[in-house]
Amino acid sequence: MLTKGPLSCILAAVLLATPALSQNVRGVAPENVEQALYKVSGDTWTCLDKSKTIPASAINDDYCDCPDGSDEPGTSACPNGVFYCENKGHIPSYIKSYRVNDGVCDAECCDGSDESSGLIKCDNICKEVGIQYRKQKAELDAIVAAGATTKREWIAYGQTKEKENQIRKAQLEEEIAVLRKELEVLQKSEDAARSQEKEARNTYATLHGSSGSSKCPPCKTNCDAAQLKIGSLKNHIRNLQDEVDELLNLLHDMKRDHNQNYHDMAVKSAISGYDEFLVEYDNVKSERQEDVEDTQYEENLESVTEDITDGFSNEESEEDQDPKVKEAKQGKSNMISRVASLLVTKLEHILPAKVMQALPSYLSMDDAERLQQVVTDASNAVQNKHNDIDNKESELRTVNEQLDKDYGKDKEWMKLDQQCFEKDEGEYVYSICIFGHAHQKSNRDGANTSLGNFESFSGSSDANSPEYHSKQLYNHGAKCWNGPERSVKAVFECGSTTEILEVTEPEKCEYQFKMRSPAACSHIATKEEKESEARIVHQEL
Amino acid sequence: MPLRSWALACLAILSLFLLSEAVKKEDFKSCSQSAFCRRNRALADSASEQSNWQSPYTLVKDSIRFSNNFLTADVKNTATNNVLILELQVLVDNTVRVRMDEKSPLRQRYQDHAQFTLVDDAKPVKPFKSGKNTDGVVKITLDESGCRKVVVTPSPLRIDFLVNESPVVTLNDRGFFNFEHLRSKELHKPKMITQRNEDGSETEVEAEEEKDLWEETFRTWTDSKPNGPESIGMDISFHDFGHVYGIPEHASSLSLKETRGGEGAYTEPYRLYNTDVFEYEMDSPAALYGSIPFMLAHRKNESVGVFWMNPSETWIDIVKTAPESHATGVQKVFNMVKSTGQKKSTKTHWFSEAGVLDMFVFFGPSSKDVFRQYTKLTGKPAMPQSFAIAYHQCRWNYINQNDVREVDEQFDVHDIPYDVIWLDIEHNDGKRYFTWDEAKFPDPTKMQNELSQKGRKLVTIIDPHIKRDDDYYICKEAKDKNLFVKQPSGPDYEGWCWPGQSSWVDYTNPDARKWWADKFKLDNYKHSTEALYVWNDMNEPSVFNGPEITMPKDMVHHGGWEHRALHNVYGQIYHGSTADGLKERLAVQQRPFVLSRAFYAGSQRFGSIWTGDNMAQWDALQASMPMIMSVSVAGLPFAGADVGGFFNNPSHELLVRWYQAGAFQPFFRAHAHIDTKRREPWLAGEPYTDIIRNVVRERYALLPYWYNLFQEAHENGTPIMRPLVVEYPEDEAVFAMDDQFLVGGGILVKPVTEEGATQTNVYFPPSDIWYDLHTHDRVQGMASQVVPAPLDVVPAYYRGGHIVPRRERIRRSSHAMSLDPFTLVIALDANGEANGSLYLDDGKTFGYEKKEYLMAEFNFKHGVLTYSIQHKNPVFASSIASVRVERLVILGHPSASKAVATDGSGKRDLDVEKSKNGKLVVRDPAVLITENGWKIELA
Repeated sequence: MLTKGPLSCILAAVLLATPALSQNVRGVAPENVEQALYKVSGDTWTCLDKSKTIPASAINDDYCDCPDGSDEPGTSACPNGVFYCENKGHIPSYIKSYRVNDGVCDAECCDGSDESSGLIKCDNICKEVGIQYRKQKAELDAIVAAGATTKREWIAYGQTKEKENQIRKAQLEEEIAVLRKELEVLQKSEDAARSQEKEARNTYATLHGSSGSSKCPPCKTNCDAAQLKIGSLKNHIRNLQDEVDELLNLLHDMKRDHNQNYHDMAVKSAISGYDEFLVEYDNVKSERQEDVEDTQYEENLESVTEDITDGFSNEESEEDQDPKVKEAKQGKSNMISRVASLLVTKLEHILPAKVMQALPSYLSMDDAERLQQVVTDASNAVQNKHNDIDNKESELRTVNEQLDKDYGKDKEWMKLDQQCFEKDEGEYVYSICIFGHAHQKSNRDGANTSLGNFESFSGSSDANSPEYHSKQLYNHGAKCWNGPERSVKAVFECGSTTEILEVTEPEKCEYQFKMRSPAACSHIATKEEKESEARIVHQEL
Repeated sequence: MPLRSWALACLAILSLFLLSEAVKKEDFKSCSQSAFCRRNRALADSASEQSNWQSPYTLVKDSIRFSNNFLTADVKNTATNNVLILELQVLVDNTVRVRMDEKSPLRQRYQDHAQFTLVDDAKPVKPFKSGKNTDGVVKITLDESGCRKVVVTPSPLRIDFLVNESPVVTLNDRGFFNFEHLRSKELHKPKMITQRNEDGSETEVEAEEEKDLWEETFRTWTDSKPNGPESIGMDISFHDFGHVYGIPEHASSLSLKETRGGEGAYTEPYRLYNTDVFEYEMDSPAALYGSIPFMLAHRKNESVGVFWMNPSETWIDIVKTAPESHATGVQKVFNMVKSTGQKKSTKTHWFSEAGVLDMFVFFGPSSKDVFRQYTKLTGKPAMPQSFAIAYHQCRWNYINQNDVREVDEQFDVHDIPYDVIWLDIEHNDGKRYFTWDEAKFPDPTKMQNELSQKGRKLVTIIDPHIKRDDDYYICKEAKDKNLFVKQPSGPDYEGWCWPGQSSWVDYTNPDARKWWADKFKLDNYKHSTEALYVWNDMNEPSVFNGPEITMPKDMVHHGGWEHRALHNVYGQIYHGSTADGLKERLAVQQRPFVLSRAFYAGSQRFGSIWTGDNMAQWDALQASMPMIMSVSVAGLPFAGADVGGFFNNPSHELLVRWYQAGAFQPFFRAHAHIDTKRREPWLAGEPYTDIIRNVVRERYALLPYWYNLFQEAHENGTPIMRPLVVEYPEDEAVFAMDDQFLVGGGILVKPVTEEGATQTNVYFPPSDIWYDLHTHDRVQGMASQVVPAPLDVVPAYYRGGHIVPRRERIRRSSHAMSLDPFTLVIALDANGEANGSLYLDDGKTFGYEKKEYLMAEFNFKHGVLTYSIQHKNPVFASSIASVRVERLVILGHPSASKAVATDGSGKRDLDVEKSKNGKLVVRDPAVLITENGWKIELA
């Protein structure tokens, strides 16, 4: 049996000593230092906390005299004492005094020395327990060793990856800086090309009337199509709204009329879900209020587009109509032709007549298209550069994320990042992707429910404590209708491989995954260390 | 909306929703929705309104007979000419039984319930004197003391119960007696009344009371009522008794409230109809899970009781009247009734839907006498196994075997003792009782053996609804043997409960009871061991799709009796069958432990009950006290409430305060709904866990005292959680007190039930000296005073004059403490004296019935503690031969510098240690508990 806490210090002392006293005080380790504490000089003895001196005969007389319980190491008289079990053939241990003579053969006291009252007879089973213990310990050691070996590899992997990431980060940052400079240059050329092309187009437009008019028909088609689509989507929304209203009525009636004494969990869930939905729905409704305004805007837009297309058709039928009359008639709807005619008027004032005559030939459509091509090329070049930068930045983000992420004290968890494991528990298959998300999938209907996303390690409130990395919290999973959002606490113990051992739901919608993994192995025992440890164990026994 | 605030809003709405979701009143009948309640209340109204009202019932003078030690006489309803037979019997111990049935009924009226309710045949004894005068007035004197008499006045019929010539109880005092005779629908002539129409003409219409006589519809359910009206009503007056108690179960005060008119009165009568009420309401006369139609009445230094033996739906109206003058009835006839002073009287009106009138009046004269008299009839509270009175850990649900093991281990890790871990309905295979979900519980036997090694037990839930499934052996057998409750048309009744479509075993059938009990044999109940005990839930019976969440009244039981006639006793019979099964499952009979939710008179014979599905709210904690005490005064002392509250999550403060109250209540179990957060004691964290640990350990230290009290209750029916009025019958200040109580006679407890309180007001009955249970300081000052009560303190006090045995070595379970030495707390009274007792047996078997126990008394007087054994069984004594007294703690400033023990092995000087607060501790007298006559002298 393993002992913990302050007792193990005493134990350690015990292990180094050799038995000496023949008349040992019951419940005290049979070793000089310990027994010496109970050596009596004269007729009295002083409690170990020095609080009281009592007759020597009061030691182990089944009456508690010392406040620290030290006068009754061999009985149950003191509420705060401890009792020593020698456990020959196994490992000695201490048990709390209240377990002495309580009719229970304590596992910690395999020699049965704790039970002497006759309430129960406890056999000395230390030999068997010792064999069993050593066997289990050997198995455990093997697992721990295998786990530790894997963990060493994972640490190496993690640290290498970490270094690679740091290098890559520097590289990426440099590359991005270069790319950004290149981008600047390209953007300048694009701007230049664009303004040239614009100028040319404007000039051309002035001379040949609105360049838009010839391109209008396809635009009109698009608008018609869009309007059709808007119309059908609106219909669809109306239908959906009708269905939602009907379902809400059904739920409303169910809530009002259901018999809560049925204790039907499904109904209960549906009703609390309905109530929660209503809250959300109210919010949606208020947002919809804004949407309605949006819709009105949309309607304005519609009339605008209609005006535009009407304008176009007008233009087609009344090609020679004075743009000013048109402007007066159609208001702002006919901007392009208005601007174009204005420009032409202006140019007539500015440019000499000859130039005016020459312009049309210079600004042939071919030239315009050529210029357009230049702009497109420049713009593509900018876009490509942008893409390059985005890619690099995205990679940098990933690298940074990995660098920032808590992969454990020695980066031992990095190896498991995004690795997934599952466990079939009959009704559901549970899965977890480390640092990712956890799910349960129903074996009945295949429904997949999120149990949460990785939040943090959670083994302790103190991130520096060794337990901190033994548990992981996955939260904000799918909400239980009548409970919290689902969450998972993954509890790891040392193992030679990573696996889910057991999934339980100790509280509704709060799952516990009992897992094992090399990453959770507590220390790395090298072969040499292990050998020396084995020697100590051998000596103990 | 950001996720977080969205979640918060949801939470807020959700909690509103939960609050508003409490009891759906419309699921349950009010009096106005129950035809017989309406009729009887209408009768009371019209009788009260008419100054010249005369009850139509008269005794037929020449029919009066005294035979077989009792009186019989015909009683005629002069309005209908129907004739009843009255039987009046004097029973032993100041008890009188009054029965009335139809002389020649159309068919038998239901009386079989007596076999489930009464333990002895209640054979009448010959009264000391009986006779009648020429007017037909019958006078019966109970015994030679002559102070208790029954007087029957013939016309109108009136029965007075007199003490020292003053009536204490009167039947038909106000003329509400009503016995609806059975009739055939065909021959029934409806009562017609004249109705004046608007035009002045008159038409004959059926009177209001004719409504719903032959069929009654409540919401969507129609009760076919093939027998028509058959209710019985009687008014019972308690003259000059200002307080009445009992008639559980209601979430009401200990001293019952008025139900008709008056400030603070309820508008509905107290109702007795076993029902499964979801999130029941506080401060209400509405029916709950159990029904005991027993009422205790108290006035200064005098108590009387009434038991209305009827398991059909019953309502009770209560009014209190100003001081009355007794210038009527019996006084005129005998001219002998003395004035009874200027005190309030309590007038009650009882009516039941079916059966016969069969009631008992208990003369007391003290409440303890009444408890004895009542439990002599309906049975002694069962002597529990010793583990049953320790701490129980329950939750819906411990999910699997590992969960059970881990919870079990955590108790040890945190040094919190416990005796029993419970498994709710999720442990079964699809809510099929007696089965296990083997995926979750692969080896239940091993699980029980592990628990049992530490002296611990397992309780599994077993409910009376049986899943309709031919592959389920229980269903198959019950079907094949024809043991289910039937529909009027013949086939098995089916309803909806946890497992879905279910049927209910008809436990009124002796074959069903025997078959059921047999299912608990270890061979029959797969994976059960001796360490397994049982919890009976939903036995009102709860039927999710039935009227008022229970079985329709026209379903048919063994012998053709309608469910209507026996509804309230169904759960009790079921409880009894289960208890029988556990008793008989081993070669040597063992005391059963069965917790039941439904109960009726007599349930005390089978085990414990709890107050059902309460809420994790402060008012529910407050209500637990009057609720448990009301059940306790009705002969059922082994009761408790779910510690922490079943529904919702208690705050840590509420949880701690609830543990502090629960540790001093007879049945001590923590329980929680499946939707709640885990709340095992160690999860609260400090300081809460430590406070809970201390109070649970205090329960364990006091277990010997509790065991004494259970033995006393078993012997005499005395409540364990005792209202102050029981111990202080002369102190009017305590008659209605129900926020503090006594554990037995020796410990006063005032649990804190206010949120945030750091102090509380305690009433210390001034006739006694009180010592703080924790500090041992003597209480100084006023009778009523505010005491500090920070979170870690539950105000509790030893009562001067009492000796309380304790065991101070707190171990893992009560079993592990069974051979530990005793510490005696000797709390001295004003004369420096104290007394106490000790009862020990094997805590397990029925050996005590063969006198295999030890019973002894401690007496402290003039500085000497003496020990005298009343009974000692040598075999049992040898099993506890080593048990000694290890310490005396004497409170109340005894003067001594040493002590001397004298026993069979001679004299021994003992060390004493004195504290500033006047406490004296005598060190290890080492006197044996099995040795008679030792003494310890202070010197």
